[in-house]
Amino acid sequence: MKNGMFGLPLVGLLILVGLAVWALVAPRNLQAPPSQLIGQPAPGLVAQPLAGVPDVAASPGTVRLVNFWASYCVPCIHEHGQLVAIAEDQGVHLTGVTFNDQPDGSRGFLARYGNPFDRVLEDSSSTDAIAWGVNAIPTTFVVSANGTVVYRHDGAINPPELAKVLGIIEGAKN
Amino acid sequence: MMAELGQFALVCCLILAVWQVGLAIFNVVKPSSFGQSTLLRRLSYLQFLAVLLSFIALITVFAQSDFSVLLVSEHSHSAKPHIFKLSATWGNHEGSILLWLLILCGFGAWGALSFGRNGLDATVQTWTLLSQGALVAMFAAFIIWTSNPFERQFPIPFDGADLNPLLQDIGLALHPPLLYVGYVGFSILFAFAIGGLMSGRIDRQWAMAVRPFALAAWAFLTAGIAMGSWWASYELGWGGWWFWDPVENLSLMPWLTGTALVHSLLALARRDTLRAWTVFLALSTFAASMIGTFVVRSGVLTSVHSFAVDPARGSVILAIAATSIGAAFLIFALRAPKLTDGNTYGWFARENAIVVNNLLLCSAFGAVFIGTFYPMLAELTGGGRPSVGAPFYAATFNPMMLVLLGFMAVGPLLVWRVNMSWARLWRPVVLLILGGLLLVLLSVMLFGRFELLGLAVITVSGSVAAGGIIALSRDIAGLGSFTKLTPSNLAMPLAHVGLAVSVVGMVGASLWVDEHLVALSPGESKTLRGTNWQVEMQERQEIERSNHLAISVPLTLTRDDGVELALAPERRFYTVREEATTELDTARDLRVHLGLTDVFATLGQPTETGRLVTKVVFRPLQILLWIGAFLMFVGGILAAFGAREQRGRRSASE
Repeated sequence: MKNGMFGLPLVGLLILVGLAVWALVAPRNLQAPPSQLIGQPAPGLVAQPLAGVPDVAASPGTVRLVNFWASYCVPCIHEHGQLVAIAEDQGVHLTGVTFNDQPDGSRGFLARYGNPFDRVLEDSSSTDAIAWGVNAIPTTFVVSANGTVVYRHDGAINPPELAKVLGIIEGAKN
Repeated sequence: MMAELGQFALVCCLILAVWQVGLAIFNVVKPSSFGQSTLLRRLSYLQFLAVLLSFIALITVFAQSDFSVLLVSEHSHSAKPHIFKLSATWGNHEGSILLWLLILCGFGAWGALSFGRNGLDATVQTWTLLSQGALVAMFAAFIIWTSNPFERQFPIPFDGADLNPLLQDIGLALHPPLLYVGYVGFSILFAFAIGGLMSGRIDRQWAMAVRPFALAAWAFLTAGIAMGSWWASYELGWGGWWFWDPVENLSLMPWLTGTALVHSLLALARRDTLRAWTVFLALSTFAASMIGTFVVRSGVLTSVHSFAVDPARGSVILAIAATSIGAAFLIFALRAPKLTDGNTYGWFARENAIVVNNLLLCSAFGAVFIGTFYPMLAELTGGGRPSVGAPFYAATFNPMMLVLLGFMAVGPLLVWRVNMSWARLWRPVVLLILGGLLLVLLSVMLFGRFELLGLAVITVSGSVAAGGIIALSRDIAGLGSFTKLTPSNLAMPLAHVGLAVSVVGMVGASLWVDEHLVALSPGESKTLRGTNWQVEMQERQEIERSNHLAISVPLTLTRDDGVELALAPERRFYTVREEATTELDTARDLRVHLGLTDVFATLGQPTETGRLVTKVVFRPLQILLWIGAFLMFVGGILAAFGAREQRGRRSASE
């Protein structure tokens, strides 16, 4: 019995190796952990509206989409078409929050590619980006009719993902 | 041409290692007819030379910016400062694993060389070199087939993608090599452990033969961890020196078992006791190093160090680790029951102090192990992805270490074999307490902080330092004059005082930190709240350097009594990778807490009003962390040399 004790390291090692193999073959979610904001009330947006573009406030009880973007951000250009498509849905309010951008640059971008946003905010101090936990752009949030964050999308919404995002918006209306 | 030469040398190393394993097996099967131990040893030297050549070839292609080599074009750039072209050699998976192999072969060659003088018999030699050869063969094959650093590409790009700017730093040039010497150095302990187990000779002679390796590996691991922590605290500007990040923990785990090992080896070398336990520690330390290598390179844990993550390579490393450690623990299970401890000792003797040290270090290892791997287990079993942070370790690891420090103060005062009598102990114990109180008094006078936990830890640290000094003074008294001191007399006191100094640094750097955020525009000055310091910002300067643009903002800190500190934190933009970094700037002054406080500043974002947010941090005693680590390093190296001398003297007298 006492001699069996010396086999314990081997047993321990086998368990560890088993776990390691499991960890290697298990399907892994390599994305960042889900945002802490999901299921929480959406933080307020304190940035000032960007001058020179239309500004419409969201009526209470509408689903909102909040998109952090900038004119220098190449993935944002690729994403823009999908935002325009989402904007065709009249039941969703789109807020664009610029990130570390020059106001002229932001306006130029919207003039060139079209403006899907009902409201554009100029977050020059990054206060909103910090409050929403945005560390890279583009990042998009969907806020449900009752004001809770239901979805966070890291990176551009690419054409194949459009249907999924539209579905989430539809689900958030109830 | 250079790349092909490197590749050729690497293949040579693999062949030499396979040859060595084959020859060793032959020796084991037919020991009488084929006693070619000299050839067996030479094969170790040749492996080292081959990998050295290969590594020099890789450094050369980096130095020449030869972008036809895929690895160079991915990690270097022609405009990069020369020193960072060289350090880029090991700033990536392929190059760093080649460095791994180089150090493995270096320790193998040193091990083979030591057989000439340590008097271990042919069976130990053969099994040791067989194990080492097998490790070299597996790693060389791993590099050649899955991580070839010499792969060419076509078309040849005009320039490279540059190295991650955070890694373009002198800290990176030094941190991995030092850490690897420590990590990989324990591989030779694994080989010697198998040699000892297979020949049934885990005894004093074996312990004396392996102590220099264990001590050298331990010293370098200490230095490597300290260098990494230094780099994190000033280059990354994370505002701390230790983050309980999984990869940091992976380097701490072999350090904890390695520290236990160098102590139990001492008991085995001096008193022929703790045989099976010491072998177990040697194998576990190697296992901890291998697990670390696997985890870092396979991506099974989420970490800031997630470089070189590749599950396919990870599975190969896992196979190598499982084979080598599995074989070793199997041999341990079969052979260790035959190892008996002949010598007994009193409950209050030095041996028992070492047992307590070992148990505490292993418990601390357990805490770090659970904290590191629990998130992985939870994720696998569907329990989400919890993060285990400082509060967990504050409740588990820290108290154990505090108890360990307490024992550490008294341990060196005990004698081997027999119980220490109270009559001989009470005077030194009073000195220990006085030492602790003296240090607290000094800290309170200098910093004026009355925070209970910090002062308690400082008291214990002071006692540890006093214990080391008392042990040294006893040695001097025993020898008659301090000119007769040998490296091994100095080693333990230096290492113990070093740890005490580091712990005092930890208290200051974690508990007594004072941070201030101020928004300033050029020419403006403000008082830092709650202090007698004023900070003034000057006009910013734009500086163009070889591979980045820097905006430097000079700041002047002025104390009431006229003491001035100049700081120039920077924001840098690396043009090739389009990445921005912030560089903090540090200042020290003898008139500010005797130069023991690091004052540093970093730049933040501009505010709406055009002011620049600046963070000014006072980090008392932080410098002691690295000074203490350096003392531990020197202590470890002296002990390694001392152990070699002792071994030489003993084998001469036999």
